Amino acid sequence: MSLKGKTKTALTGWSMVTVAAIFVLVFSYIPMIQAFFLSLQTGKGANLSFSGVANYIRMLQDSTFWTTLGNTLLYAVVQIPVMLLLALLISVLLNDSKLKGRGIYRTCIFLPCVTSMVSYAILFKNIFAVDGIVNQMLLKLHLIDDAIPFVLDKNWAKVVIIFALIWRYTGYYMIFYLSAMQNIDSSIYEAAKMDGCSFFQSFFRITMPLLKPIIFLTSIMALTNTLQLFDEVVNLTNGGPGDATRTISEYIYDLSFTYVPSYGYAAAVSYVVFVLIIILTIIQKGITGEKE
Amino acid sequence: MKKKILASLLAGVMAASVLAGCGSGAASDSAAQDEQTSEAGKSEDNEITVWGWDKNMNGYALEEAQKVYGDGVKINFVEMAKDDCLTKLHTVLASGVTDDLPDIVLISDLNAQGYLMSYPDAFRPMEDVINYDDFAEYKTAAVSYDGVTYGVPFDSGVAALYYRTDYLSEIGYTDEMMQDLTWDQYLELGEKLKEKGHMLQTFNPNDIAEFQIMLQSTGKWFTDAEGNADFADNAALKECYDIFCRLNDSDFTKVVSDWTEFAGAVNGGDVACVLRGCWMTSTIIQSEDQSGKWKIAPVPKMSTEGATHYSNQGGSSWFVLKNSKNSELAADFLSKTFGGSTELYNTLLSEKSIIGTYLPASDVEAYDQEFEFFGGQQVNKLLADWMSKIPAVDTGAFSAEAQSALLGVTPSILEGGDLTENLQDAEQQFEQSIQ
Repeated sequence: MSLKGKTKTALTGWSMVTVAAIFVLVFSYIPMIQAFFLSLQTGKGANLSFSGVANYIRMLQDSTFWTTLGNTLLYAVVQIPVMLLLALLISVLLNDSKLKGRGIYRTCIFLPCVTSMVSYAILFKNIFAVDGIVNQMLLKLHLIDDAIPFVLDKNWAKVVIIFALIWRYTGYYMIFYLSAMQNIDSSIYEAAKMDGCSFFQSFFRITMPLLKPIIFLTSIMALTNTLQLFDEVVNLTNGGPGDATRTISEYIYDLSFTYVPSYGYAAAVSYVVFVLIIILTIIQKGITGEKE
Repeated sequence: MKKKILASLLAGVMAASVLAGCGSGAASDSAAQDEQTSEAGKSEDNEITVWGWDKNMNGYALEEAQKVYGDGVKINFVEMAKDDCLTKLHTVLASGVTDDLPDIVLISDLNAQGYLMSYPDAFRPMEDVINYDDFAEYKTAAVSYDGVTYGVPFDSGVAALYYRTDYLSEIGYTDEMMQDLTWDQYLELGEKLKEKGHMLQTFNPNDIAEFQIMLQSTGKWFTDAEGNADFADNAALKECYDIFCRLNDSDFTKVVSDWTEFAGAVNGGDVACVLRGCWMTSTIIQSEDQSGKWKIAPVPKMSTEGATHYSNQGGSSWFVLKNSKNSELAADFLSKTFGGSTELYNTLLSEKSIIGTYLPASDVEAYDQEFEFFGGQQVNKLLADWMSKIPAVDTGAFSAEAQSALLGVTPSILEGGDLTENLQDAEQQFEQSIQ
């Protein structure tokens, strides 16, 4: 009877997930496998022929590939810590139950997340244009003598992109921290206060350790998102000046559509991103698994 | 137990609703399809689908062509942005699906070779219906691959130096003095214009499209006849970078970062000169208050061997897809319009200043038209005359790769890095990228 019950439960479960599972299989996993076989072929456009790992070897000598990979990782390394720290800080401030109108603040900070990636990128481009509002302000305040061509300078362009990313995604991660903080029992803080614990002490000794799993989770999430960065860069700088801001996703797009298409090579490059993400996911699994 | 029943009930309902959703979706899809086919049946399948960009220009040209061809055909012009159009064509051809193929596509000349190379058998050879002796030679070369000619040449991108007569007269320059400029003389204008508070031209350090004009004016290109990179030993390209660096270091250019800012600088009266293909006319004439203040002159001459005042930037051609529904009708349509009607070219010229590359139409009356906007200049006649003198170059299939490789080293060149070394690096990157 109990076995039969188990089978029944299993069947009920399967009947619920089967449809979704089939869709995921057809539209996600099968194309992934096809892409892998594609990555083993070389040739332009439809003239593909099997050539083993030639594409992966080609990547080793492809300086554009390394530049774009470097750019992508640089965005990740600079943007993610700053963004997560900021998100943490804001959520600590907004978690204060005595703060009035925190719903409004929360909404305001979360709002950039719901804007379309393309439109906010274009907005930032206008703001940082040669005759954009930032330059106008700096000129009027006599902080600079000549307008800075933000998106045309290889260093400034990166700064603008990182700034834009932080603006958009901080609110998103703030929500994670806020909800995690609401799970922390307030009596812990009260007890700490009685023992004469300062704000910073309770932040570093209580909040941070208790948020550890969620901080790990968000950092991995942010990392995988940044590795697939495309819209912002294409619309803000189009990868320029030169290759200074080009990301790996934009390179994959160029290989398929801007250049005479090398679909095989583009698939191979995307597989490298895929493998990078898998490695990071395994790390994430390891860390959260330990916690449990 | 109750819970279990509820759960399985819920599961059943959900599964059923999903299935029903699919079912009804599929049903309505097929119904829509039926409708479509019956509609197509009614119009006796004489509708030609065309993918292209710029309704105002290319769409208009098709409309006029349809009038010339008569009632035998209906044109369905699907307008997309140029980049979207080219991307979509890649996806539909690479997928191998023939159901949704358009009959005719517009492809820019620099991209044409890439498509012909990438998708053998996708395009219909047109040698049987078009007499290619009727077209400018450089255009025919651009739409041929492996000895077979596929495209129907359309508009030319003959390059011109657009200049503001009012600004130049302030520094004492007359129209005659603009006709035979070298690049050195052209850059000298900048210094003088700056004193009067005008900028010479726009400058985008991340855009080397002007190199196309400069290189072709000397009969050179980014690549040689075999399609190999021609960077480090290309004197013309080195001169391009020399000019580019001088523009970068100068204080008489208006720095822009994209098309919007560029067009804004031109229409806003910030700059005195614009160097572009003749399709630029449609943008310039948008500022009606500047009517009569613009004129055109041949492009400045470089100092490299073989340099001329004549060049080209852009231009596109029509291609018929072999496996589309109305492929044969489309081929016939093109051969009788863009490939054989001087009347059509006359209309396009007089209404939209579209400079075609169809030689029999080179003496139609619209060429004599004088343009008020350009101070009474016979713009069409001048452009057509220059077009016939453009040095022919084999642009090959890899212009985008070449420009991308060069752009990669451009920041370092502008910072004063060694030119030859940087060009060698770019050459390596290019060779790698065309594998």
